[in-house]
Amino acid sequence: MASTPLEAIKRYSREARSDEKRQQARPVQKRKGRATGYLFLLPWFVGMFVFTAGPVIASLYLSFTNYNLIGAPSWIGWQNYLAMFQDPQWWDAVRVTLVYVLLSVPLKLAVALLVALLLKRGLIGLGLFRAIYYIPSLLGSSVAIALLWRQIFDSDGLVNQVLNLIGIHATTSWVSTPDTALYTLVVLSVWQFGTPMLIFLAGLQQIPQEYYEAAATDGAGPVRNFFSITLPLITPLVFFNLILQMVGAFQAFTPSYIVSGGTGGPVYSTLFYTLYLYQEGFANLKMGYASAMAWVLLIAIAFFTALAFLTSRYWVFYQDERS
Amino acid sequence: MSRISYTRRQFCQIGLSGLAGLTLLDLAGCGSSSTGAASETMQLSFWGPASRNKLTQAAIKAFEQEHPNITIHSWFADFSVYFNKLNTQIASGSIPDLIQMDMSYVAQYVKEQELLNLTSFVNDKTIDLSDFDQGMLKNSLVNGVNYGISLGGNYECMIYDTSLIQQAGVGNPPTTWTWDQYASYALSISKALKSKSVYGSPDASGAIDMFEIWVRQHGTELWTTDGKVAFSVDTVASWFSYWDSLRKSGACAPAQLQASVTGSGPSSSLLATGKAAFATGHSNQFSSYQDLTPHPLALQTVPTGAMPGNYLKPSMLMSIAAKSKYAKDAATFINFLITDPKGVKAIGLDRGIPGSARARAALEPTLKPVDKAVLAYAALVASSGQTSPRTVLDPPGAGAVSTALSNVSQAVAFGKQSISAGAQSFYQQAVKAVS
Repeated sequence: MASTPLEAIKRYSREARSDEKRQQARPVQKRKGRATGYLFLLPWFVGMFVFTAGPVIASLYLSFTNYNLIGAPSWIGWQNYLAMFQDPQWWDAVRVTLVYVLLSVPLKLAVALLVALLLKRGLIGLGLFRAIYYIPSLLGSSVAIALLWRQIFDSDGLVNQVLNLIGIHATTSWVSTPDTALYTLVVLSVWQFGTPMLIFLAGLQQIPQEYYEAAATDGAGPVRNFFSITLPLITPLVFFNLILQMVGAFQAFTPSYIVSGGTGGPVYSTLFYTLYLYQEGFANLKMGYASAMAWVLLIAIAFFTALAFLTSRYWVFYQDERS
Repeated sequence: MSRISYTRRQFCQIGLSGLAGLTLLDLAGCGSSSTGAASETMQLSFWGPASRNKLTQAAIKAFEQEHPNITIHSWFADFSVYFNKLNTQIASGSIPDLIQMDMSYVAQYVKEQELLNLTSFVNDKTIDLSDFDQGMLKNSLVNGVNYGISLGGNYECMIYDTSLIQQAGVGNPPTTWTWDQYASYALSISKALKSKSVYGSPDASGAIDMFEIWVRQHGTELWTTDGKVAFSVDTVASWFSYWDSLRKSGACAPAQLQASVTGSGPSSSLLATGKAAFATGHSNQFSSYQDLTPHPLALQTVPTGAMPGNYLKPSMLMSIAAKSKYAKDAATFINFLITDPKGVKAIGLDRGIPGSARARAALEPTLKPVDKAVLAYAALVASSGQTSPRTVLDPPGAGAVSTALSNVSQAVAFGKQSISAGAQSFYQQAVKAVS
């Protein structure tokens, strides 16, 4: 019987707890063991403090300064944070990013679940299809794909050629029109459904078959099965995917940077928050302002994540809480 | 089959560890190369394509042969990221000894005291400017002081595709022309080549260099001498409405087509993709444009206005870091690039027309046809009476103004903003950017 990663974690933590009990009896050995452990962790700690924690703390300080990278930073208090609310481009970036997150995350999860349901039915060559559908997730954030996306959605691109074949004469360049450019990026994101799909697939394969058999005896059809058995049992996975995809979508950068050539255009329509942050920091040398923007983004992501956790008790179903 | 059994606690743990992996605040952690520590090693930074790197390496090699005790390492990047890289290096505490500088950025670096005052090297002839073009020299000064020597001067120009013109059967453009003449000429090309969906003109309303010429033809510079916005909202509005009329008549590319080429430079022009017969640019870009298309290209003057608009733009300043330990050697290298026949021939016309008369004479016999066309164009513009020296400097923040122009012009082109609203919006963004 295959065990899931989660069960492995659970088992591991159980073993770890009993290890601890054993070690409490022998304090010297415990200390020794800890030192060795930390020694092994050292390279990771160095990376963590030098390349992650250090810059994060530095950016908190810089967010309260006027800093142009070349000169020394000068303290200006909350000015950067206040300036944001009066900056029309900042609002553009917030709007674009929210639309992107609100559209791309649910769509991506829906597609991932749909494909997972299809693959679960046991196709011939399941492994092959799984790999094929996972490939976009590996390629999706690459520069090459973003460039390809420009070609596909350009005025003489693949999309319009297909439309012409079925009799719709289309000359719109989808990536170069302000009203549609963002949606091409949403499609790009949805196309990379591989990771959540694999997670869903793993979850689907663990739903006990007896449930469906029992439901069939009661005369339940596939739709009823899905909403009454499948969906409730995988809500923890929906939740997990939701959090990961949301955090990722808020920080999306590459697609907009490449597809718009770094401009966030046409007419700010693809100006992702992180792209505007990058422009302000590195092109306009307002590093203090950019740092403040990064902190506002961090707070926003934390807020939405917390919101998801708080509401989760109403819609996420854990089997161990059934009573 | 095993059962699914996740607990809320486990999910919180996994979710939080996902959050902990957040690395969005690491943006500032981009690496940079550092200066070598050997006693006579200098670092040079410049922007440009790989072809320029080749020429620069040849010049460095020639210099190192004459000065065996000096080694020069260099790095280069595309213009769009060059200053990001340079700034990151400076922020990390090191700076290249020799820095290629742009006129729109030099004021900022002077303000931060990163660049060396070159006056003493000019006075003792380590850098020999005795036969240097005085206009070009003057245009490159910052507050009357020399902080960088221009490796080449350029005029703003128009470049057109001669085979498209032939196909359109509209005859060659006149030597000089007005904006209205340009508009009707472009329209006749669009009409003639309609079946191929080729437009006469690109939509250049977002090009700050062309806008600057328009502004100067209306009697002001872009900036006042103390670095404030000098143009008026009305001038912006007139610029937008000129291009609006070209768009409406079909003389220039529609908004969507123009928006399909992103970025800057020859490779992202409608001329290179064969969608427009004209392009606007700097005269030193002519050969890069020619490299991108099999059709023979030609240079054409920028439309004229009530007052002279064009000027010899000093480009690619070579500056020395104020902190450089080898300032004298760095100055010797600059002199090698601008006066020594070996250095001059190595870099050619790629960075523009050299300021020194000796250098131009040394280049004469080596010129290719495209180079000759550029020199002929420069001579034509210089004697046209359509130039006036530019004495003001781009203030810090000028880079953001050029981005703002391209964004607002796009909003106007797509009809997202009216001409007057767009003019207001651009003006205000410009005022804010340089304040």
